[in-house]
Parts: sequence; C-alpha cells; structure tokens
Amino acid sequence: MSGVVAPAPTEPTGRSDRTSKSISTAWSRPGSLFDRFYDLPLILVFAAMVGTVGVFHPEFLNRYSLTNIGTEAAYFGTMALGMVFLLSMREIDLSVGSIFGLTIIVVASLVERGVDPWLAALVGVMVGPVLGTVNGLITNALRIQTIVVTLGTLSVYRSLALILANDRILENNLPTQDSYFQVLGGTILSVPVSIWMFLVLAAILHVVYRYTRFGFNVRAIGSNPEAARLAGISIDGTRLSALILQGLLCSIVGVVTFAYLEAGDPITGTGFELSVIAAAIIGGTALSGGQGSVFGALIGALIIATITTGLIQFGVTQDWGLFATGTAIVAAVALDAFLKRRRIQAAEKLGVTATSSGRHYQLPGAGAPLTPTQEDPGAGSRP
Amino acid sequence: MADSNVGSGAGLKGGVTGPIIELRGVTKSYGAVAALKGIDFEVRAGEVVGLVGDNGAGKSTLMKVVVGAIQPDDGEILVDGSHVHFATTRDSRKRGIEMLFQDLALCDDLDVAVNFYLGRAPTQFGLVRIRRMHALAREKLEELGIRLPSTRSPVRFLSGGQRQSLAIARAVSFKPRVLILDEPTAALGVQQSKVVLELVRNVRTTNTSVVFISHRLRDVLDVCDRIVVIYEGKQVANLLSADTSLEEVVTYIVSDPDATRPSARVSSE
Repeated sequence: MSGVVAPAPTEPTGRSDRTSKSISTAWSRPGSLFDRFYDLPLILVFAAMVGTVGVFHPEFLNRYSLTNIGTEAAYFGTMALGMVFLLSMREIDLSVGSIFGLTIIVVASLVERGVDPWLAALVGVMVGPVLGTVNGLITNALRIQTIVVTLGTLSVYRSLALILANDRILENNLPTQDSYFQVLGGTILSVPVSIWMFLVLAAILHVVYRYTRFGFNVRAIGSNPEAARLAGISIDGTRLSALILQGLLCSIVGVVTFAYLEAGDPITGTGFELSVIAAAIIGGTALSGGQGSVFGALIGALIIATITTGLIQFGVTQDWGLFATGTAIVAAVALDAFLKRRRIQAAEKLGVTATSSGRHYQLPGAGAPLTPTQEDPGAGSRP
Repeated sequence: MADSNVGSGAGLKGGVTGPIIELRGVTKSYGAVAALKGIDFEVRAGEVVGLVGDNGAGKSTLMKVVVGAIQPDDGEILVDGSHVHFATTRDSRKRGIEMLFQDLALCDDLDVAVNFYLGRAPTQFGLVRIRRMHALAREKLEELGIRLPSTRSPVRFLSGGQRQSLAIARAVSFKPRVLILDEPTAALGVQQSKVVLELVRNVRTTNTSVVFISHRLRDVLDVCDRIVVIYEGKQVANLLSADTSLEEVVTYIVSDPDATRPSARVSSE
C-alpha cells in the first residue's frame, strides 16, 4: 500500500471527487437518465427490498407469495393511480375507501336480489363516477377544498353502504358459479384478474398522465393554478374529471374485489384512503402538486405490499407492519426531497440560476393526522 | 421642452393608418382617489410605446382599462377606430390585445415546451405529440432569437431573464396586435435585461406593437419609439425617443401640471 509512487494518493482522490461530481450532475441534469426515468430510484429501492427479503427468505420469492404481494397491492394500488392525478393538482380524495365499499354493497345487494351479476357489475362501475361527480360538484359549487368535502363524503358514503347492507355481510344466495365470479375472481394465465386489472389500468393511466392534455393540465394546475387559468385551462372541469376518474377506479376495484371475495361486507375498504395516498406519495407524487408518476404509484403500492407481507415472512406482527409502512413513507419522501435538492444544486453549478418556485400553497389540513395511524402522509414531509 | 412633444396622431414612420388602440378622456376613481383623470393614449401599428411615470401615476391602471381587467368610469376606448367595451380580458384578447402581468404565468414544474403550449399542446388521436411540441417550441423561440439550453428543461431551472423571455414568447405566439408588458425587466440584472430588451425589439418585427411599462428609463429610451409620460393620472408628455433625453423624461415624470401653485398641493396632503 505504502509502496505506491508519491502523487498516486492525491490523484485518485482528485479523480474520484471529480467523478462523483460529474455523476451527480449527470443524473441531476434536465434530460438526463434520472430526469427521463423519473422512477428509477424508486425501482432500485423496490428491487433492493425484494432482494434483501429474498436473500434471507428465498421462499419469499416463490410464485405464491409474489402473487400475494401483487394481489394486495392491486386493491389500493389501482386507486392510487387516480390519486396521482388529484395530488398533482393539489387535491386529495379521502372518500376512496368508502366509494370502494359502497360499490361492493351495491353490487352485492343487487346480486342477492337476483339481478344478473354482470348487470350488477355494470351498475357497480357507475357508482364511483356518480359519487366522484358529487364530490366534484360540491367542491366546485361551495368553493371549498376537496379534502374537506371528501372528509365529509367519506362518512356519508360509508353510512350509505351500512344502511344499504342493513349492517350485515351480504353473502346469501350468491350465484358463485356465475361467470362473473369465476372470471373476475379467477385467474388469467395463472395470474389473478385483480393483478391484470392493476397492470392494464396503470399502463393506460400512465399514458393519460404523460401524453394527454388532461395529464398536462393536471400538472399545470398543481404547479401554478393562476398560470393554468390564464392559459384557458378549466380548473373546475379538470378537478371534476379527476374526481370522476378516481371514483371510476374505486368502483372497478370494488367490482373485481366482490367477485373475488364472494361476500359484501359494508366496512370493506375502511382506512384505505391512507394506503392509497401513501402509495402515490412513495411513488414520487408531490403533495404540493405539479409532478407525479402513475408508474411510481404502482411501484409505491408494491413497496407497501412487500413491506406488509415481507414482514410477515420475517415473523413480524401486523402492528409492527404499520410502523414499517409509516417509516417507509417518510424515508421515501425524504429521499425524493434529497434528490430534488441535488438536482437544483447541480443546475446551479451548471450556471443556471434556479429561481424560487413562488409557491404559496399549503395543503389544507395535510399536517393534521386524519386517524391515529402512523400513515399520516402530510406531516411536513415535503420541503 | 414642449416642442419635442408629438401631437396626437402626428406622423410616425409608417403611421399612415389610424391607431390600433385609442383612448380618449378615460377616467377612473377609487372612492375619493382619482387614478386616471381624463387620459388620452394611443398605440399604432408596429411601434414600441414606453409608458412611464412615478409610482401610482396610473400606468398599470391605464393598461388594465385597455385590456378590460378594470372598467373605466368615463371616456372612450376605440380599437381600429370603432368604440369597444371590454368586460373581461377575454374580450380584449379576441381583439388581439394581450397583457403580460408582472407575476409571471409559468409553471415551474413543467418544461419549456409544455409551458409554451400550456393548455394547447398539439395532439393527435388525443395524445400530445411530444416531439413535435418540442420541435415547434424550439423553432418559435429561435425565431424570436431566444436561446435556451433545452426545451425539456423545467422552467424552475431557468434564469429570470430566460423565464421572462419564455413568457413573452408565449404571449407573442398568440399573434397579438398589441402586447402590453408590465415591468418586464424590473426583477432582472443588467445582462438579463439586455436579453429581454433585445427580445422586445424582435417582437416588433413580428407586426406586434408593444406597450412597455417600466421604471427603468434607460431601458425605455433604449427600446421604445415613443414615450408617454403620465403624472397623477394625466398624460403630461408624448415624446419621440429619438428627439428626447433621459433628463427631459425625468423632468416630465416629476413635473407638476399645477406647479404654479405648489402650496395648494402641500396643504391638501
């Protein structure tokens, strides 16, 4: 070691310093790999997680438990795809779990009364858009925040589900041999339909988010509502569309879930809103609006599902599972914030002055815990 | 001093046609405070008009009246010689009058091209043609002599001058007949101001007239064909840049039409 020629120690240090700097600028620069593959760090985190669990518990990587993770992620993950649009325009829908639950009850009670399951499913898929429209119209008419409106409709929709179900689990006289239960509750190419639903909707909505005017408008509104308005973008109209989309996703999940569970419990989906928001945030969607990623939400949901099922593999109990999920949210957001600061610093080094974003908006009530869990997504986690 | 004043409608180069915008005796009061006291103002085709005056002289108020952001109490507004009433800025935009406000209308999180085409991105089968959008944006920016590192760079990473240039280029892309710029260089350094001033000159070549509101008299003298000075809601001078000087403009800015009885003003305060 000590036998090396004199200048050698200084040269590598100098080079490594330069290299690390150029690496940090390389993936921080606009248009760079990191910039184009917004979700790259997230994918790496997910891969590392699966890898770590796999090393200690190789059985974790078998088909059965991977399917488990996928199925679990599919339920709240599909709803998180819609939440990406809402968060991107600085809105939050808290009524997702209730819309999901009410859809199940609507379909279940129709099927119990002898309505054809496919027809009932069709009605079920319309429940969400209708409830989303209600959320949107109230928000637009009263000029109050969506988070407040949906905090109310969260209870109202849940209450409707309980009333409709007469406070019992709907599982009588269900024609479970009907193709509806067999197809939607079954598998395609030995992968559960719920996972297919998740993947297909994620692909479609990724395109909608990144390549349609609606997707751009959502981000423009979240970034600078005044600029969006001056550019002729209808904020009310976009908000309504995003809430309808969110409702539609909740109902699709509801229809598929009922086919799988073959029972309609009116409390299904209680507290789902927090997992849904968490998946979107872990996926890199900013609470402060302006940017997000549908694909990231998919990975975010998978990360949450991996933590919960992975921990069970490690023999950790459910209570600690929530702890881990909460920690993961803060860690993911902290990492995201760190990377963004690095990007701004790198941009400054390139001789470009980063101007302040001029953002005045604080998400109303985001800092206040909604229910006493550690999944509170708001708590000052954004820079 | 007064001999360099241009009479209303006096021959400017190419000024054969009538003015695009003409204001006659416009007044606007907020309660007891008269912001505009019967002001005349006009913008002709292809000219850059500087609008200067002290703080509270009524520059911004006047321009907001022009675009319909606020309603005058009295007076006439004519566009192409016929009377108009602009209830909102949308009405004035339809007649080709665009105003860029001080607070810039850009989305920091979105890139240059997306901002340029905010709310009107080129689509095909419902999908935004991203490559085409970037190519078009680059082309349009280069036409105006704006050089940016990349149209894919988020606006957050642009300098103040670059942001201002992008905002102006965006406004120009609507092909307005008159573009009103409210203090476009106020927040910029010398070097960045130069870029924006150069852009204003380039805008003129696109057949867009410009109204340039500024406190920076050197910038105004530099870029404008004509300078209108307003003082306490009245036009006190209408000068050709070529025939005037910084000193003369300053004299008008601080001038008091009632200078003969200064005591009257002091006592009223």
